[in-house]
Order: sequence, then C-alpha cells, then structure tokens
Amino acid sequence: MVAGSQPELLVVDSLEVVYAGVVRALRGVTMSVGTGQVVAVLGSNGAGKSTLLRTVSGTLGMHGGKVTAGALRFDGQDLAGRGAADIVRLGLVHVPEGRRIFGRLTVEENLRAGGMSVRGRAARTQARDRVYELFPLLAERRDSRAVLLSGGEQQMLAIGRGLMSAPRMLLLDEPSLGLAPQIIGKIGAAIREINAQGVSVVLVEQNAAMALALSEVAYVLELGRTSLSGPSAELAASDEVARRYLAVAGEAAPGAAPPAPGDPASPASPDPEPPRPASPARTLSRWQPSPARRLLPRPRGRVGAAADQGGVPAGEPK
Amino acid sequence: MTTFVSLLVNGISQGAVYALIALGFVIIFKASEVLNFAHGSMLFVGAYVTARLVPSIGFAAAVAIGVAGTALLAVVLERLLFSRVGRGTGLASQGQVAALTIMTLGLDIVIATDLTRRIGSRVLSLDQPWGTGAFSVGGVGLSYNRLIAMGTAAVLILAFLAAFRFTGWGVALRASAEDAEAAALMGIRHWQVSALAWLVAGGLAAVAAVFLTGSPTPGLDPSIRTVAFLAFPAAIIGGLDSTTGALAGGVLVGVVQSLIAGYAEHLQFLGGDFGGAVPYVLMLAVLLARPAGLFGTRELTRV
Repeated sequence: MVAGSQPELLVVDSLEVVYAGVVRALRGVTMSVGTGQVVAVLGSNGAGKSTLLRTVSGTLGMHGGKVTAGALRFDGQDLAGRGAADIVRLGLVHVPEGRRIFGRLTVEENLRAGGMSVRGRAARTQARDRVYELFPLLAERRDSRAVLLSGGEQQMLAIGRGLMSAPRMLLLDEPSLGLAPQIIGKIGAAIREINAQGVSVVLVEQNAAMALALSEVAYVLELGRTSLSGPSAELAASDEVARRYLAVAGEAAPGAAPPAPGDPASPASPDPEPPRPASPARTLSRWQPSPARRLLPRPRGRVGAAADQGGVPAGEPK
Repeated sequence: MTTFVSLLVNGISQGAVYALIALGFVIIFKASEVLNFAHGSMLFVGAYVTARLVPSIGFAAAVAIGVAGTALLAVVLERLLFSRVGRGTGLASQGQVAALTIMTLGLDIVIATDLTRRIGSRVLSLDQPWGTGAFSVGGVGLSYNRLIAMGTAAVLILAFLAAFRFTGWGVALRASAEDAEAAALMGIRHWQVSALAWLVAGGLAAVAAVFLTGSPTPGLDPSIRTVAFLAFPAAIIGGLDSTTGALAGGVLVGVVQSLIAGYAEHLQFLGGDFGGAVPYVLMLAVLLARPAGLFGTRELTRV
C-alpha cells in the first residue's frame, strides 16, 4: 500500500525499455498510482516520460520499443503482452502527447471513435453527454471537423475522447503543451473535475508548476530513472525541483512567472484555480514510496548530466 | 452527337464497374496502407467460382457464393500477409508495407496462373439472366448488362458510402487511416477494421467481375485480370486515400477509354492500341498537376 489507504491501481516495477534494440529509454522506473489519485511525472525532454506512458498503454511496439525488464500491473492484472486496444478495455486510457485528434473527423465522430470499445448505445450516449458537460465548447462545435478547432479545444477533445470509454485511469501526456496560460488553467480545472468523478490520473508534464499543483504525489524522471519522488507539495517546496523544473515551466508558459518555491499554487502560477486545500501534510519520513528513490535534498549521481539539462533554461517543449 | 452521347453513356456504365474495383483498392489502402495488386486475381476468382457454379445451382446462388467466396479469400489473404507483421494487428511499418505490396503482386501471379491453367483456352459463360441483349433510346445504345451494372454499382456505392460515413466500422476505418496509433489508444482493434475492409473489397471485386464478363464481353477468360490494371490508375487519379476519388477516377477512366475507342479512326496517329495506355497517360497528367490525386490528401511519396 502506498500513500495512506488508497489501494494501488497501477504498479510500475523496475521497468526497463529499449528502443530499436540499442537505445535505453527507461533504466528502472518504479512508481505506483493509487485509486483516485492524481500523480505527476516530471522530467526534461528525453527523460523517458512518454516512453513510460507508451509502455503502460501498449503502444511501445509501434515505436520500435521493447520492455527488457520489470513489470506492469493494472488493477492486479499483468499488462505484459496485451495490445493497446485490450488495455483500453481494462479501463486504462492514454491521451497521447500532441493531442493526436482525428482532424478529418468531426468532433462528434472523434468522440464516437473514443467510445468504440463500449458496448451498448445507451452507455455511449451517456459518456458523450458527460464529455459535453465537462467541455461545453465541444458540444457547440460537435459537427466541425476537429482540425478546425483551436489548440485548447483540440486538447479538450483529446481528453474527452479518452473519457468516452469511461476509464478508471487516464494517462495524460503533456496536456498543457503549446497552450496559453488561461487555457492551461481550464485544462487543469477539467483534470480536477475528472479526478473528482473518480478517475485516477497520471499527469506527465514539463509544466511542473501545473502538475505539482494538481497532483498529490509526483515522480521526477531523469535519464530513464526515477530520480525523485514524494508528495507534490513537498517536491514543489524543495529547492531542487524549483530550480530545475519550475523555472523551466515558467519559460514554457509565457506570462506566468515561476512560482516561488514553497508556494506552488501562488496566484502567479499558470493555474488560476485557487489552491486546493493543502493535502494532508505528510512528512518525508512517513511517506514511503515502495522501492522508488525518495526525495533527496541534493541531486544524486549524474550531477553533471543533471546540471546540463536543468541548468540551461532552454527546456522548450517538443 | 448521338455517337458522343452513346460513347459517354457506355463509358459511364463501364466506369461504374471500374469504380467498384477502385473503391475496394482504396479501402484496402486506407485500412492497411498496402497496394493490393492481387485485386485482379480477386476479380478472376469471383468470376471463375461463379462461372463454375452457374450450370449446377443457377445464376443467383452462384453469384452469392462467388461474392462470398471472394470476400472470404480477401480476408484470408489479409491474414496471410499480416500474420508475421505487426503482431497480427494489421499494421505495418513503412518498410514492411513495401514488402507486403510486392507480396500481393506475387499472390496475384500465383492465383492467376492457376486459374488460367484451369480455364485453358475456353471462354466460360456466366449465363447472366439478362442475356446479351441491348436497347436503344434515341439512337443511344446500351447493353442490358451495362445498364444493370450501372444500377447495381450505384446502389452498392451509395450503401458503401453510407456505411463509411455512419457505421462504427466507417468511423473506425477513417480514424485508423488517419492515425493508427491514436485509434489503437481508443480501443479500436485494427485487425477487425482491416479484415472487414478486405472483406468488402473482395465482395465488390466479385460483383464487378459478374458484369465485366457480361455483354458485350463474350464471357470469362484470363484477360479479366487486366481490368484491375485499369482500376489501379483510376484509384490513383482520384487520390489513393479517397473513396470519392475512386469513384471519380473509375468513371473518368471508363469515359475516356470509351471515347478513345469510339473515335479510334480519328486518332490513328496515336496507334491502334492506344486505348489501353490511356488510363496511365491520364494518371500521369493528373499526378503532374495534383501529386495527391484529384481528391487525395496523401502524396504518393509516402507509399
């Protein structure tokens, strides 16, 4: 058990992934996500965040990647060898980076595609209505081709499409990518609402300020390893994370000043929502992530590499 | 003028049949990214099965079995091609797609060679119940076979377009064709989408074959396979990934071919057999102006 009383829904255990037989993208990632939790995964470009999500959702093979070690379990079931379409049917949906909506299909058809694994017309209609309720903008544009939507609307469509199969867990890869701060706030509010409806969320972000404000627990990936992990509030308060990721996030979201360390949900943060009631303060010594490395006051190992990546403020989004 | 209208009508009716073939070719490409050069063999199989069954079980039942059999054969080919590629998902990488396309060419040769051996020098009749008659309205003549072909093609095309637009399979096929990975992330099982696309394409090819072997053609002989080589340029003219394009391309090829044949005596300078080359000349002209075809979105450099 991790993080109090929440049962583990997704367990990633010492995962190692290789692309094209030679490029090691993950070198031992361990994390767990409890039911109903929002977990953030932070890291710079190439840290392995997207690889992690692809592995979980079963699309790694389409990118020429292969799991060489470790295990993945969702709700107690081993995910190894399952295809992407089957994993969706388990209730685990991955909203990929870059939105990847079907541009030539209408908004309505995109949602229909998202609900393809759902049996029963009534269930599909209900899911669609819930998406339209969550994103009323989409309902207004239901007959437009998706390619004509704005970036923010496309992101809403991508998330809404992922919700059509009524998943228990949503993996979101960089939902704030390329969006204006105001829109990022709306997306953040939607993520909170989705979570409030009982969906666990894994939020992969370069926008660390947003991710830390939304999540309870965060993991930092660095060169394919879990380098830091802990309650988000504590990670946000640490100088280490603030220096390496929050400053970068401030650059990635123009107009939003990097929040001061120790105040992750300051009014200047890109998320205009009021700060959520402070999550029950857990001290580091009481919070025990299973085998993942814990929050460390100083960078450990690969100091040079970390400085190369974090020190340069050019963490521009892909 | 009457000659022109007559040639036009005959061209459209023949083009409607080409459109059925091109449509199958296009949906296979959309679903699998493979250019199915075995499409000619599918025509051949459909006509052969029908012709062999007609004497014993009658035309309607023979056509039903011929169409179903060809549709099934197409799915078997799809499973065969993709069994070792993409872990049975019906998806292949760019390099694999090229190899699979060559494999369809090989399959085409194998199937056609076998059927040619079986037919020998005979011309098999499918005994179409509408016979070899023709009718004429105001000097414009058309065989009943061509008339029924046009009507049947129109009905099938409309049914297909409706399915493509409104059914779950249609949405899944279009989603998969646009972004196969995102479609898989939506829980769309690509192999089902792909198998159904090949099934439909095989069925359409067999229906086309029934009309291609009717009047004014004397019956089934191995040359039926070459009709597919008219449908390929038709599909490319329209744009390989566009169903509308396949229809337009098919009709265009039919009409131009008919006109060239009809005015052959005025076109002596082009040589006697120019009609066979016309679809390809047309294709080159279209591709020079519009590299993605008339209605296509993807340029052929991707193939």
